[in-house]
Amino acid sequence: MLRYRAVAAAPVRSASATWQIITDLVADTIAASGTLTRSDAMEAMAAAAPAGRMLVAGGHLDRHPLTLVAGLVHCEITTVSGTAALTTEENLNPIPGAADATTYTIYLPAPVPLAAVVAEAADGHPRLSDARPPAADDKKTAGAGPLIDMNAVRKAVAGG
Amino acid sequence: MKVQECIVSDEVVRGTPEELALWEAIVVPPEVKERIRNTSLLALMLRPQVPFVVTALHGLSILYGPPGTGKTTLARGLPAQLAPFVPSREVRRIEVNPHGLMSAEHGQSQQRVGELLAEHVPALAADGKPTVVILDEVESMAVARSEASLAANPADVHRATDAVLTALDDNARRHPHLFFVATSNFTTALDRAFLSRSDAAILVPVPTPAALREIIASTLLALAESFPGLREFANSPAVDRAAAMATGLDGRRARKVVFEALSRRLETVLDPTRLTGEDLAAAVTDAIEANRVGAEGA
Repeated sequence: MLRYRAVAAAPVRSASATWQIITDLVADTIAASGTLTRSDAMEAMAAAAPAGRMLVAGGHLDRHPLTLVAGLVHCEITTVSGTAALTTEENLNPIPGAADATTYTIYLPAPVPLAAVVAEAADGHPRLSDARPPAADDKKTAGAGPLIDMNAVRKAVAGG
Repeated sequence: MKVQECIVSDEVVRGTPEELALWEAIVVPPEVKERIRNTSLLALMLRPQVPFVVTALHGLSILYGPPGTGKTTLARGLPAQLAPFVPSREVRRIEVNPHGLMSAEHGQSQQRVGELLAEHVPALAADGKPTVVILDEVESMAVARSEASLAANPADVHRATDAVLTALDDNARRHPHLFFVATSNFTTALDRAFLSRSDAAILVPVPTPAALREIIASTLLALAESFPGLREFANSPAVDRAAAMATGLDGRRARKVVFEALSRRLETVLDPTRLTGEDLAAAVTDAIEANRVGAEGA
């Protein structure tokens, strides 16, 4: 399920503080998994931190989201800077849907001026990637087959 | 309260005797139960096949009526009624406590409502299993915007109701396996746009005298499992007389009348089989009087 989260950056928070908020959001979401750990997510985000802080400071995350893919979670996290940051309504609760996740990837945006920095960060942890994230599977969740057994309904009608 | 804590139950239900008993315990005209079941069956059947623009089916029923008429119990019993008609014979039941979603903090109610209905509920039902989502006392989250008091926070009321509507529209298109059942004692307090999204608004009425008799007798018969001497009393004319006097009582109050009657004397507390028609009649009289006083105070 495609979800979005917006985090207020400058002037509400410094780049470091904003990255910490994003780190906590990712880690809290992953912590809901029965097999993945919060500490692993914290490590991955720590490895991405040098690039992440630059992405925030440069306003790149305002336009290019960091994408977390974990089980049913497909969440695009962006920042809001400037006067809009003063009034933006944040939802920093963990993103639902990671309970059954057995693996996850944090896709870092790689805008041209920071592509090399992001690539280096992505190489620093197996959970990080600077590739384009996959398209979100946002189709209907009940498309596999009929929800109602028509034979059972027919039997009930015939049985009065 | 965290948003996810507003989900008070999430379980997969089969048509077991215990689950079926929920529905059977509520005495309402059979057509009311049929309508509740059939509305949800039809929505679950059509919504995956026919585009929303054609059906306009949101997968939402509203059960309304006076307190104590069994709306919530019927909603809880619905999954077991649907289970025999589902290929896997299993239906998920998710129950939401809407009161916990409302927040005094500006803008938070809207965010919490949206998060619960558009994120948490679809995530819990992500396996595509037919799912009944119960929104009990929904008037707390789908407040009539036209009636919003300026003494409260009208902007928040508007936005929380907007969030409900947005989530219903979103779920209607993307999650045809979700079926919402909302209960309310106060339909006039519900937002018109919310009401118009319901596939059916079904009145769960106060019981007729015959239904009151059935409720009182069935309560006595259930007690007779432990106190066999009550079986004869349950089928006596005293129960007919009490039921005739009880017109206007809701089902829950009618059931409690039996226990109020038992509590009138220490002898009947000690030995319920000593219950008399006079005890029952007196308890009904008291309940009717309490109803009258309550109605005047409302």
